[in-house]
Amino acid sequence: MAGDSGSTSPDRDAVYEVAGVAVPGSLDQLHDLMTQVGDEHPAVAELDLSMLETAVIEIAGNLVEHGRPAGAVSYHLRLEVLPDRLEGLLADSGEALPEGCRPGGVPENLVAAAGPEEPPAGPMPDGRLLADSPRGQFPSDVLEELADDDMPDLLDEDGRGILIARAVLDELSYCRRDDANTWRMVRLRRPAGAAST
Amino acid sequence: MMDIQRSVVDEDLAVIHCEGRLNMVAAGSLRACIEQSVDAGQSRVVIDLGAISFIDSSGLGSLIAGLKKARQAGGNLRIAAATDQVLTVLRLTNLDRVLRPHLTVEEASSGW
Repeated sequence: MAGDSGSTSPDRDAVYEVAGVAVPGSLDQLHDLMTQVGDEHPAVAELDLSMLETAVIEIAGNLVEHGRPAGAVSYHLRLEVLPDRLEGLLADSGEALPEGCRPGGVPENLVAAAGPEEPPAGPMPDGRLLADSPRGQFPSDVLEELADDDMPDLLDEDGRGILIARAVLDELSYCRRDDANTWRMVRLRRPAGAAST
Repeated sequence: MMDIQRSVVDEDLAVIHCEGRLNMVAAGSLRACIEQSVDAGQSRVVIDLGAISFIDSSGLGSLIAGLKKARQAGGNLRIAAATDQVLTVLRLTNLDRVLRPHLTVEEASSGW
């Protein structure tokens, strides 16, 4: 799984990918991938990696819970270790997220600008969800910077997922494009010994 | 995956030891275990998080549900020995205000 998209990266060893179906059991393979990244990149601070893992699991968990059609949504995670940051792209074949599951809402015109409605439906023609576009080509015009929201009341049992993901990242954005939902997650690498999150 | 083990320490006190990842896969089991404890009369519940390597919002939700259940029965729920990722997520969500982290199970088990 690791590094099998290396042809698009200047650093083959720093790209990891995993794909699967969005069901609760599949979260373990995302956790396992993070563990593998940590094992193979001991220079990456444990906190940086665990915070990215936190975000990935929240976004993937959101997909497992709210992705439609339920139980039949494919996902594809690409994780890149870069000198200054950790970057994750999580794409899925599900329907456009309903309003309530979107981070602060994505305006309709933003969705419309994101690409043709059809085809292709679902994954890329070769079965992949992520096009082989380097991160620099991620469509910045359709990126949605998340609006600030307050955490729910302390005794609420849910509603924190996206907020946690945003809090542990330096950038979290969502776009609907080519019949796929794509989340971009960036965690800047803190200098060794830096405190806090 | 997560392993859960409940030990009845006193008439009204139980310690629930968790090991693994407390995510949406495991949250339901923990919630059920806490409910069982409270229903059995142990409404003071200590959750030993010392072997929990990861928690997500579902896991937090199960702790909050357990806290409410315990309080409704006149008890309370405390967490102990949380690791870095858990402490960070608790702090970021402000939940450390209602789930104050105790250093050890022993500390959490006394002085109710």
